[in-house]
This record gives sequence, structure tokens and C-alpha cells, in this order.
Amino acid sequence: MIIQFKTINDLSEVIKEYEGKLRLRPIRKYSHPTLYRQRDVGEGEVLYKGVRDGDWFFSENKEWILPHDQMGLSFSSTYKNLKDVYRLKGRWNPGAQIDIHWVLERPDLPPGLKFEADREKKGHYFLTVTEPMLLETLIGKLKILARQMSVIRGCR
Amino acid sequence: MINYKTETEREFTFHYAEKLDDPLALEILKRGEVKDAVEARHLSKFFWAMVDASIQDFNNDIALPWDESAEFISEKVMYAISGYLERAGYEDYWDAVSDEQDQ
Repeated sequence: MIIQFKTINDLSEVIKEYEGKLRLRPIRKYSHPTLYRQRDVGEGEVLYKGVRDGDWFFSENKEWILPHDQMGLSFSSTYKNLKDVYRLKGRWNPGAQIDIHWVLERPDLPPGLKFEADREKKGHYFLTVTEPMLLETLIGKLKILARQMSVIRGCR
Repeated sequence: MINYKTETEREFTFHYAEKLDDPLALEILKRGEVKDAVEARHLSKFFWAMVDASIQDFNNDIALPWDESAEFISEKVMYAISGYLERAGYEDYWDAVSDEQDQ
């Protein structure tokens, strides 16, 4: 059965049923779920081949991503947190369609990647690296994860 | 306490409390915590006013002194403030004020 979700509120029951196991990211339509284009970020923000400097713990020479359990790509695990992030993105991108990309917490994440709970905020997770990783290696793993993700399109 | 992950988040928040001429928000931010439900609600409202003010600045090409975008910093500040309010027992006030933003 295919269910069409019209609003983010329609998703609340589904998300609550799997709460804790889901990792969700609201993303503007046409943007990539785990990598950025320059137009996705602010003018002064630095991207290295789609990886945002501010998200990850980079080595000094910017060639490596170093392990840090509170730095990485942001995901929501609860409806409540998702709703706040979604609301914020909607405010910054008026009229834009925001899709929700999601993946279940899974044992077969690409090796070297791990979801870590934000110590300060319930329902917020970082996708982190567990070992020093070359930028190119991380990009490859982020592309694999993106292919593992599903998408709910067109919520408002 | 409101725990910011970076100094940028703290600076951004103080910048907008001053810009919005919101002495109570500034007092709460300096103290790092709220005293009661009235202040919890005020801090929640301040957050969304700060988001609106930063969007307005962006639309008016007003440069900000940080490398990261206001949208990115706002998201991180949101985790810091809402996370603090949850821990302090004021989660319902954050939720109510945030839901009011959709109306």
C-alpha cells in the first residue's frame, strides 16, 4: 500500500512508531542527502568536494577527517526534533519543497561510520567517523549511505 | 546551563539579543539559564525572533562576521537552547512556542 503524506504532521505517527531507530534529514528538493553543493550552504562556508568544513573535525591540512563523537552530519531521531529542523529549513527556504531522507539505524553502515547521540540535545544525532579517514574515503562512504536512504517527498 | 558547542554560536546569539534590543534575553543568555517558565517562554520566542532577524539580514545583504551561514549557526543554536530547556524541565514551553510559529 502506498500512503501519500501531505504534511509533516501526517508523518508523526509513523515516525513515533519507529522512534529511536530512524535517522532522518530534511533536505531541500534536488539537494543530495549527505553531500552539499555550494548553493546549499552560505556564502562564506567552505566545502571540500561536498563535505562541509563546519560539520566534521578536519585535520589541519584538510585531507583527513578525524574522529569526534560530537561532530558530523546532523540527523534527527525523533519527530519532535525533525519538526524543529524542518520548521527552521522551511523558514530559510520559503516556498521550497523539503524532502525527508531517512535510514533505519542499521548494523551494516559503511565501516568507519557511526551514529552518536548529541549529548546536549535529545533526538539529535551526528553521523561520525570512528577512525581517521581520508576525505575521498568519507565521500565514498557518504555516497553509499545516501543510496541506502529512502525519501519522503513533498511534505509541507 | 545553555551549552554551546562553539564560540560562534554564543557570539551569534548575543549579537541578535543586542540587535533585537531584548534585555531580558540578554540577561538570560549572560546567566546561561532561565529562572522560571516566563523566562523559558521568552527564551523560546527570542530564538525564533533571532532566526527571523538573521533571515532579514541575509535578504538585506548585511554581512555577518562568521564564516558559517546564519542558517547553519541557527540550527546549532537551536540544539543548544532547546536541549537546555528540555534538561531544565521546560520542554513544553519550547514546543508550544515553536508550534506557534506555524500559525
